[in-house]
Amino acid sequence: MSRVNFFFLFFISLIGALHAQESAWIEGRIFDKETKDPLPAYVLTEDGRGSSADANGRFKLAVPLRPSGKVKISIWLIGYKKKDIEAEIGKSLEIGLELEPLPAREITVTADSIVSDEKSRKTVTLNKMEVYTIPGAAADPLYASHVLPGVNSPPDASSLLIRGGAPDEVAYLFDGIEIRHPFLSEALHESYFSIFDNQIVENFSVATSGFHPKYGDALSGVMDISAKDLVAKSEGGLGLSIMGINSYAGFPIRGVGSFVGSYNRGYSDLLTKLNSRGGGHEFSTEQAFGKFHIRIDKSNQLRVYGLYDGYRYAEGSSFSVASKNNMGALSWTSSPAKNIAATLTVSGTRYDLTFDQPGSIRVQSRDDVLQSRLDAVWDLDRHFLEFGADIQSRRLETELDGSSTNEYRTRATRSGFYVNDKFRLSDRLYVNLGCRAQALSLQARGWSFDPRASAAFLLTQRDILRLSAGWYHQFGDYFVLARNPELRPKSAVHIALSYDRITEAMDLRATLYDKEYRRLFLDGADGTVGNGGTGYARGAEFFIKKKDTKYEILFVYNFLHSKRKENDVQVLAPSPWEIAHSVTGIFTWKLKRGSLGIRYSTASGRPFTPLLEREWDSLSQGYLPVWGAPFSDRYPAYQRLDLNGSLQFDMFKRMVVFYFGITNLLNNGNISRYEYGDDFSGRKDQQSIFGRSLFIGLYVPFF
Amino acid sequence: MMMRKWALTLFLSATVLWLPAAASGAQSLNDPAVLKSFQEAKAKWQAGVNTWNRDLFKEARDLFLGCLMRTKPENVYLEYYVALADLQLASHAISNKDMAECERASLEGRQYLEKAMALDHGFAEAEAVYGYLIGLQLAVHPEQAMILGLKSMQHMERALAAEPDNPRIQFLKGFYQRYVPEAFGGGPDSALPFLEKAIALFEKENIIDPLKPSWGKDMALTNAALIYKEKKNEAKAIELLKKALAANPDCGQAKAELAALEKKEPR
Repeated sequence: MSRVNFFFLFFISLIGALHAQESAWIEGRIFDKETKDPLPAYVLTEDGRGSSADANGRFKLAVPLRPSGKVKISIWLIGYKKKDIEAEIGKSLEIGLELEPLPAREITVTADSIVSDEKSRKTVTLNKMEVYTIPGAAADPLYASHVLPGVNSPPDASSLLIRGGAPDEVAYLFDGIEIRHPFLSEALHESYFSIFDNQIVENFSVATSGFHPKYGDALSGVMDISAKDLVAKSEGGLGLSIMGINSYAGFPIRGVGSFVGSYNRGYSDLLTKLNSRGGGHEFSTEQAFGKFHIRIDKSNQLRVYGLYDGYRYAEGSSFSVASKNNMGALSWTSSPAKNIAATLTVSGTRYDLTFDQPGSIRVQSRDDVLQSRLDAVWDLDRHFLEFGADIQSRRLETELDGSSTNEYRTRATRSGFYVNDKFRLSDRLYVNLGCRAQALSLQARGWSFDPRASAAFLLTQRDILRLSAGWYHQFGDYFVLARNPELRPKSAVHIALSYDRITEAMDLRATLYDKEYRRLFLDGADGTVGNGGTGYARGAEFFIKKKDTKYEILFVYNFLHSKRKENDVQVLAPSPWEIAHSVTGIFTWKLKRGSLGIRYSTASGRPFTPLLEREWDSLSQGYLPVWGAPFSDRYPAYQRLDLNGSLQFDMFKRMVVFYFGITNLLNNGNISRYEYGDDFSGRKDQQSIFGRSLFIGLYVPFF
Repeated sequence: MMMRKWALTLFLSATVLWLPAAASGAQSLNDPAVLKSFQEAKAKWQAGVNTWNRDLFKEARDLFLGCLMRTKPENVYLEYYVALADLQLASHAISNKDMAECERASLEGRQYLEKAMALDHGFAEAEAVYGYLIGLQLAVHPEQAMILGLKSMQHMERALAAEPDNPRIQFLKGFYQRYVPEAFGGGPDSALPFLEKAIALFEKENIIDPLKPSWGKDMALTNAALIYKEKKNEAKAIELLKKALAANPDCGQAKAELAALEKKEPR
């Protein structure tokens, strides 16, 4: 072969090789290994060539031809584990990617927690806007929470009955501060409306089981609300309704930080006139909130805030009740490192209540609470460590003026500390282990320890199984404790198993739970109180929220079986807080410039102790009641139909929102309780305050 | 003797532990091949903006992704650039009424930014882009206008509060504000102060590090010019468009707008 021919052949073969190298491809399909959904992942060859797969997960990439016929490639999509494989050229590849495990902080491990922060897509959410759009919720976070699984209330009251627990078994926190009197109207039998104005609420969560060790002194649940914080641009709103006015403002303060505040004032005049429900009843409310956020530097922030709520209710000159809630707080947050933060909060609250029935009785009570808490978090990705301590000093005074004056005073200091580690045990298993210790100066028995554990197992990306078990203690009434220092805290053990299916279009939760009460307070024969009370609450819940572009459906069903031996009930009897079955259905149409919602709620009646007959007592020269077995009868079933809607329109280049609500459209006379006259001759139905009522208003937001 | 053995074992263990780390560290942005690829990606992204070309955005995104995959430890700026390409892809998809692509690009872009923000809590510019991407999702989910709009504004405002002197955050806020309905506090009058502040801040900005974001001056000038054009202040619009072209002679939108204005108002 001549030299020329050799070079010619070499050149031809080189061209051929180069040609072959350019025409070599790898192609295939990338998908989620679990759901089989196509993934637009990125494919990178070892020599730096790369291409993204299309929306169907298909890719085709030119690769250099190798004598082995194979090429090393890496495949990755954010949120998924990177995969390195040796691909065979010319063969169609099928590549499944596995999800990258989420950091511990992003998973709600405890069973039965509902949050409003939608960032966490791995649990059931109820967002802040839904507080406005749920019919009958009166734009109140507490009323809105009644649609959550496991949550009920006495007819139309705002207090929460969580899984058969009494209303006082729930702790309420506002920006980390425990609020002992969270209701605007805290009366003898029912409480109405909360002191938390939704205009300044940023997030809230409701835990019905397995709650965090940072929360103490609660047996059944916790509602934790956080107020708006730093705002960078002025915003606000002004509303006018038949109830009164409401306003909100938030604005940055140059070089300092920002301020958020709200002021609301309400009167009953127009509301009662419009709904023909005068009857000599009148009430007025006043709410104010202000919070300064001061940025000391990038890692230190100071918050100074105050809250005021006032309420007055009167029935002519024969009866009046007035309450005031004042709170002032200072909180300092410091982040010495990116993954470490600590907040120290110091606060003082004062609650005053006056109950006046001229000529008969006048009750004045005051509850002063001084508290301080330190909460620290340390985010280690796989571990999310939380620890802290809290101390609360409380002084209670009650003065009764009747035929003679009686004064009751007590004070106590409660201390607690906690530690909690939420960690990822494997790609799918997240575990929460925590413990809380707490003690109260009124009790001689020292510290109580609450171990709490829960686990979340990600069956798939959309299905989560959660199991929570925990021991909870609550000290109970301080006046009772002052008289009985040997009393130990009431306790409850919760076990809950829940299944969540969370997709873009749906939140679904099914839960089974058991709550065993121990050491409940039980009246003794000699007038003392002991820890002989027991009880249980067992049940099942189902919650579904279906979201569509045009509508949203929410359906909740709760089943509960609960018995308690407590206070003066010396045998295990149906719990007075047992609502055996309750159903709520809500349908909301999303209109182009507003919404229209309808809600139907029904619930079986709570147990009550029936009056069998009356007996003449010659000693007191009056009739005495003969009661039946404790809580052996039930009030009639409760039902209510509510309607609400809103419409946005522009006026003078400004958005205006018109809203209306019709509460109890069918005017059902839901019974709150029965009352008996002094001689027990007859029974009188005490109906819920919510008859058919129309509520209308306008709101002008400012941006 | 025992101590020496122990020290030697410790040294060897440390070496073994250090070696893979050192090997992976070699694939940093200092790697010339990765740096070259990154610069090519930035050029393609800018060319995409100049000519409003989807393919260039996609190519730029692929190159940024390639750099990201070859870089260890994770580089927050690369995550930011992938999201920035996603922002343009989502915007382009809206103009083509391809809502599925808009949703994909917005969601994926948000994921990259979440990662970047988790790694660098003070990365305010990433938060501004994040807020903007949520705003783009409004086109896909108009029924969630209240929720998405509120969220978008919150992130944008947090970014503004954290870094008020960042011109790109001011620009993004202004650009976003321009398309927010007046009833919600948006519109051209509300957007202009942000854009003008952005322009003033761009004049002072001097970015040397090629990794750090430096885009946006021409965009801020062009968008401010468009508002002045709407306000019939054509002289001011022309002045700003010329400045935009001085900053980026290839800015397609500035060229077209200037040509149209000069045709209308020959000098």
